[in-house]
Amino acid sequence: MSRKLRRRRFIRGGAIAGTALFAGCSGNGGSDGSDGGDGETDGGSDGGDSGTDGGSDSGDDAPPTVALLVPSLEFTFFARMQNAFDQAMSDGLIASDSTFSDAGNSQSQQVSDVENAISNDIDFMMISAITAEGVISAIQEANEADVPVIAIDRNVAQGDTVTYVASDNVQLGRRSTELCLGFMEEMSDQDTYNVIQLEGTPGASVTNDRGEGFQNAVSDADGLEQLATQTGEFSTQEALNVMEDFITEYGDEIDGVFCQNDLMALGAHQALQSADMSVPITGIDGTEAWVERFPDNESYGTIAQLPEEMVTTAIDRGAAHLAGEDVDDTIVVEGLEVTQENGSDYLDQYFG
Amino acid sequence: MSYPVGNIGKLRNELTLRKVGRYGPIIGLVGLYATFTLLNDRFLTVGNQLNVLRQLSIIGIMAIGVTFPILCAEIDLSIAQVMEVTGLTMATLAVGARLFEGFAIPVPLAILVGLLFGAAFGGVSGYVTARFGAPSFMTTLAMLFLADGLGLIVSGNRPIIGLPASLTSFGGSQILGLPSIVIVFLLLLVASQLILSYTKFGLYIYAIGGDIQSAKRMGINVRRVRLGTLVISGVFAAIAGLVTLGRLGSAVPTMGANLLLPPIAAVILGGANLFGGSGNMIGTLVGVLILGVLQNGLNLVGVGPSGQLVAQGIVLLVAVLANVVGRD
Repeated sequence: MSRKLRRRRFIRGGAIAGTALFAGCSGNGGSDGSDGGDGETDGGSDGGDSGTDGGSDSGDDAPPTVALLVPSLEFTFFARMQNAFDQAMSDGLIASDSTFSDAGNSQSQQVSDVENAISNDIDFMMISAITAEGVISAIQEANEADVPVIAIDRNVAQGDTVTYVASDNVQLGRRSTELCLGFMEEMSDQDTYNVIQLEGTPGASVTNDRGEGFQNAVSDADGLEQLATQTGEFSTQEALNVMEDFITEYGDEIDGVFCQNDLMALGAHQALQSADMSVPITGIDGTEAWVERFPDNESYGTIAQLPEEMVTTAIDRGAAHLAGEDVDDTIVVEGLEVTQENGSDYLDQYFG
Repeated sequence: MSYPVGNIGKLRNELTLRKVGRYGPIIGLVGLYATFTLLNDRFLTVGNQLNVLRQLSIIGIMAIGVTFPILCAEIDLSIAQVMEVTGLTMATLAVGARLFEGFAIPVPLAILVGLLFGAAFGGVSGYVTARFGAPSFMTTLAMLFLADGLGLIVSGNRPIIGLPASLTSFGGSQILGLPSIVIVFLLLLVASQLILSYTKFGLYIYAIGGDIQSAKRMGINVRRVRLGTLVISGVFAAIAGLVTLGRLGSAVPTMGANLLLPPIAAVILGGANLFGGSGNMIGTLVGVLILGVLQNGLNLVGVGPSGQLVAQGIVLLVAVLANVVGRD
């Protein structure tokens, strides 16, 4: 009897502990979803060295002590930021007691990370916020402690920041669409080219921005027509389904496909290949698996985001701020156009 | 015009709302077909119908699997993530990449490992549910997180390409002009209906789902059956992972995203009772078809993302309403 009771107690205790754990998990899941942005759409690699050519030493004395705070290393995008950070440290651009924090997608953890960084007496802080709103009070603490803050990749909603370093998604959408148009012109000489757009998750800011870039490109270029647009939810499988339906409906009318991320480009490729069609496809992000398709397809391309460049730029601008220079409110890190020509170089440099 | 008056009265008696409701899902499906055929002349072509079948096969296989626990008054919330982690495991093992760098094993063995892995997830949640009486809602939710994390570890969170042809043939080849993925789906459907109709295990599932106390008193080994349904659902999720590899031509770490609710919705749409005891595989097939045809048709007609969501909401509500009216 007592054995049974003890066992029951043990199980009940375990269940309570489990519930508590689960409650923690689910809370974070929500905040993660609301941001559904760059990290999620990025499927690249965690290996590789960083390109640290952007930085220049503006400080004459000892390098600054900094902190870099990212939402979650689950996303390759931020793992690449960590590599760039380590590289900068070994290059002597930042002091060796600089710290890197991974919040593991927990908003409260990130707030604690900010507080720890402030008490570490750093020269400036670079932060990619889990949600723009979740770090407001922590940023205000940093402001009160006179620690300069640089937002990187994801902005903060309130509080003083030196600058915001990120990709411009409108521009990425526009450049990828124009790249697609270039491929279509190479393939055949026509008066008008019909392009299909596969969009990301409806309502996400990334989706809206990249879509705006696409629309701008379509209305500016003579002879570029939107044939159809539909959401592929940033997912390979959804994109494959939608593309199959578009092939049924439009068939040979399709001259090119623009996808708002590379994972969807993989799906579009699969559908077109099954239908024995060869059509230009361009994406955004620079995902490893997509670039690996380029050697066999000369009219595939992407505009790669460069997290390494973001980190080196942020370090450079932070140092400039410390030296008393004026720094722009926002700094756009240009995406890198990757095609068959530079595909293998790109893979070697960032994923080698 | 020439019908005797008595016959019409009889007909009216038979055509009560309740009886129409019993065939609600099928009527709804026919209605969808009629609507889309009128709206788009490419909808009812052989090529497009094959497309529809191909597109719904993955959801369909998972729906068949999850029908077993649902009939038994259980639920499996882990199917999407189990599908993901088992697919990624088969791919990485067959290629010898990522977690299994340099440990490539033959494709049949990799598939076997994947299927056993799927069974293990169902086994763990099933054991805790059946032995200790923990609700399967929670035990399979636990498996959801576990499988999600393991999937990231196995794949290194990066897509895997260059899969061997023997691995992708289950979901990506043609047999006698039919996509292999559709054949796998239909074979599993028939086999599952046979299990439900003609084996003791199948009848026990209905008995337990209908009234677990009476089933116990009749001497049915309730634990074993509850465990069994969750193991089956795990294995079916693994099969779905296998065919997904062929369909996508690669293994993508996010391939299970958004695939939890559609299979469960399909089962309920097909007329199964969410609280167990009634339903069958034909109903599940109808439910899956409703979801697949709706999406395909809306894409062909050119309805935008927001319009699609609105249309899906309306159709689901009407379909499930028809179900409830038909039940009691």
